[in-house]
Amino acid sequence: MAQKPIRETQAKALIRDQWPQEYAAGKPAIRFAEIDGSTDLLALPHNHPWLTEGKVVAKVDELFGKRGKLGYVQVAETWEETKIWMEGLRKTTATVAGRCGVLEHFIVEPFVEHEEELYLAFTCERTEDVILFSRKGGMDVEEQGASIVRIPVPLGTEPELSQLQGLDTKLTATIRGLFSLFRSLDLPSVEFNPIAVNARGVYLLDCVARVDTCAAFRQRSTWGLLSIPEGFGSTRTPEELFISDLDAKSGSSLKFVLLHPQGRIWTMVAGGGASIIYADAITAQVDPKELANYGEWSGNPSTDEMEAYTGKILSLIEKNDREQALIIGGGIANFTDVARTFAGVIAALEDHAPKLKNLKIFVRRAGPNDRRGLKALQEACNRLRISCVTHGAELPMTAVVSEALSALHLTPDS
Amino acid sequence: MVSVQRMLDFDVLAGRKPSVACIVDPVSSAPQKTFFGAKEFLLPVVRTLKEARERFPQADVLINFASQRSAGAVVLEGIAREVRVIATIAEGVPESDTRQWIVEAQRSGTTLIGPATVGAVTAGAFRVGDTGGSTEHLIASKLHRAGCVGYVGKSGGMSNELYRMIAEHSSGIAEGVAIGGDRNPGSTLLSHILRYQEEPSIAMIVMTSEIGGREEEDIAKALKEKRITKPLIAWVAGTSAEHFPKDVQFGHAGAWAASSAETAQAKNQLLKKAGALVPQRFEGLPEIIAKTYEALKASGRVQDPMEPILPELPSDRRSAHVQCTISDDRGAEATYGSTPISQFIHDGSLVKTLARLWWKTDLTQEALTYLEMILVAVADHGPAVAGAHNAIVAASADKDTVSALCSGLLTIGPRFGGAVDAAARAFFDAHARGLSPQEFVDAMKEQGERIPGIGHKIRSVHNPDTRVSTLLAFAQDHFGDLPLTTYALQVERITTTKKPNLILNVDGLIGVSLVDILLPQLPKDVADGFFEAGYLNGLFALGRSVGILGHIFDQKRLKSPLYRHPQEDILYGEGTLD
Repeated sequence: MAQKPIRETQAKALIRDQWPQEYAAGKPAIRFAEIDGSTDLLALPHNHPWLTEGKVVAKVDELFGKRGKLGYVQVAETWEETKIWMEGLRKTTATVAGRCGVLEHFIVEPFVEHEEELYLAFTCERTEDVILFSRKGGMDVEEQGASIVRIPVPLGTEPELSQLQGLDTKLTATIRGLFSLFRSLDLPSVEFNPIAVNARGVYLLDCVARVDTCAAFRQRSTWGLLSIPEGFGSTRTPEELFISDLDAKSGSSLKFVLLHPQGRIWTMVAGGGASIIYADAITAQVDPKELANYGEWSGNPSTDEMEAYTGKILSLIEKNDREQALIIGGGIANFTDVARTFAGVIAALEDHAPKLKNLKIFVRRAGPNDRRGLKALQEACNRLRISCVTHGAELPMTAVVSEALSALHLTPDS
Repeated sequence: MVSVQRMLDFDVLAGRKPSVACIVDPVSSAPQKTFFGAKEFLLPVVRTLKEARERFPQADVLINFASQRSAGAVVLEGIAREVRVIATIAEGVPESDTRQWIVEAQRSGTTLIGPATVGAVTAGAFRVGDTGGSTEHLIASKLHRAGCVGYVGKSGGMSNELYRMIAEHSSGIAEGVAIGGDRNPGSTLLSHILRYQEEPSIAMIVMTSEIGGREEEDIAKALKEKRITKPLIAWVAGTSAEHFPKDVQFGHAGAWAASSAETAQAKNQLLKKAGALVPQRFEGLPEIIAKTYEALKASGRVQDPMEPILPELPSDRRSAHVQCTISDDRGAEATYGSTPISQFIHDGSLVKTLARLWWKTDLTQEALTYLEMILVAVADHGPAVAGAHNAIVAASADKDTVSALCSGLLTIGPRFGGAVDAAARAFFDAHARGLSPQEFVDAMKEQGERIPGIGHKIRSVHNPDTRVSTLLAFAQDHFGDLPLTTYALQVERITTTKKPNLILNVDGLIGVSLVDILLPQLPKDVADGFFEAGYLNGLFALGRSVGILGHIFDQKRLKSPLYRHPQEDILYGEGTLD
């Protein structure tokens, strides 16, 4: 796992609930209503009476930026007006930056009168954290140019904010508090654009944060148990959810992303690095729409795990009527036992063989016990009457891709 | 540990001595059975890195197999203990942890490899963990002898594939490192490339990278500034990412593009412009490697290496089922340890033999005398105690001597004679934790537990146990400082004010005094499991066997009839009052 973005509502709730006591004076005013697919809009003012007490701002909260320009931000005089706006958008399909998804999540906040808008972001470099600050909030960071102040904060030291002259102490405390949360909550990047300040307080008008999912085990009391959303347009299929669950329970790695269910080339590649190279080799030679999935397994998974993993992929292959190829690829394993992992592949093939009408399997894999594993797989496929060719390290790693493509009569693009 | 065995197999192939000095395992210090070639040997296992550093100062590489959650503590301790190279295998280490390691390692000059990697290899010299895979592939990838190519990449799995590719198209690698697939790996690609640039045995460099991160900008800069002048063949994988209809997190945590500058296409182009040799596709790498190598050969800069004769690794290795480290009966004369048995016979000392067979060492004369005094003190305590009584019952049932002895010995346990180790440990732990005698007494009371080694059924301050006073007097006269014994006596002073029979009993005194006297004289591997092995209870059992046998012989001579316990001495059911 790795860095993942969280919703604005999730980020703001974290800031509100985890605010460090020592910077109490700088705590921003955070008040919002969260709307998801099941929220009853009529009942919402009951829990959030302020909704009906003045102007409100509503935004789509779906992990994509530039919402203002896309028309997904609305400032309204009344809650009724906002409600109508949201009802018009709720559960509609939208295409943003080429990704198609459903608009389900919204955030509604009280409108804040203010004069000044600031930009503030924290990011991680290799050996230092970085504070980015500008008095020209509301603009993209790329558009800020010279107005942006970059303050490196070496790890293990506290930020030196003297460069930010003329900041009132309240705002300094806010920056310190947010920075301390950025570090203590394992957030690899956070951006507030803009922050508004008025006589009454500091307001985070927008907030984009990412969490380091590797730290979930020690953030259980903060965000470790939250459901971390997928990127917009990445609603996960049942098969993806099944394998992600398998992955979460395993000490090994089992990854699967469904790209084109009607594609003709399926992959089950061992190794994080090799799986990228196989995907590159396929998309370089044929229409990328023919690549049905991205898949990766590594870290010596058990025979049972491999059986479940392979079985789920075969169930998708069965649903596709076209002639298809499954590439079981990989480099030369350091420690993953080829015979043991292939025993799981064979078990799944035995289970699914009667329904696998249009499948050809292409294997290139090496590593501990490779000859035994390759032989067993070849013999199983012969027995099950599944077309299959197996190769070890004698064949260049991605040469098996060309074999698969020519067997499907897919001609290279180039 | 399969990985350790793989490292030792590599050492045999490379024709070097075992590269692994020891295994650090916090939960066991039992030595690990391993093979070096066909020979089985015991690899030392220690519980702490501190001990490993003290005992094996020549070992300067730490291979960290700890899990994602505990890997961080191991690395920080390794840095603090000035280990030269630390390779971390675990995947999924939080980014903020790795970044902290990097900062600490810069301060100490430690080289980090990983996390999320299989490690690294110096061909013909040293293999980190599983790097290079099985023996067959090691040989095919020519890792058992040095070539002239320096390799660095992100992916652990791909490194092995690349070693093979490089071996098939050049003289093979001299050194290879997989830095790991995280966003902020412990060491950078560039740091290894610059190292290869300085290394005279390396003539050309191959690097593979992935989508995500911007390190290639630094490499391009170093190329332009001529800080890298050896041929650099490079490929950045991940060109497929732009064709995906949705966000795909590749198998490596760092493999995602935060901006257009982090795409594989952009980085390949940048490297090519800066002068690296970049193929059109990954599949073009072998050709470029071969061309570069042939050109170096033609210019006389490198030559094909001699292929060494490979030692054979036995295909079938079976661990012996039984191990023995205390005596040997194979030679002309049997030995205890390495000393011929006749020497011990000549010396005529049971405790001297005991010290060698139990603790694999020789003790000072005073310590031997003290041990003998203990054996004497515990030899017998009359017919009424559990052990003697059981033996008497068995002997009068006409059981044979050994059965009757066993029947007596079987009563030795936590309530009878077997509290010596428990007492020693309880006082030792409390003392080590820095508890004052009063705090120790209070803590035990709070837990509702009796203090082992304190209290006697009959004896008290008014009626002291002469076994205790005699042993104590000898110990105090002959051994100088007795910190744990002193501590136990301070505890006794507190407990006896509550109840006069809460004295330090004979078990307690033997326990604490032997921690003071015996423990410092024991070899490290023996001392390690001092409390778990049950040495002190063993002493009691040995001494008491003398008395139990005495009772058995006594009964046999007396021809005692079968013992039957009198009915009036048994409370049947719940008792009746009429």
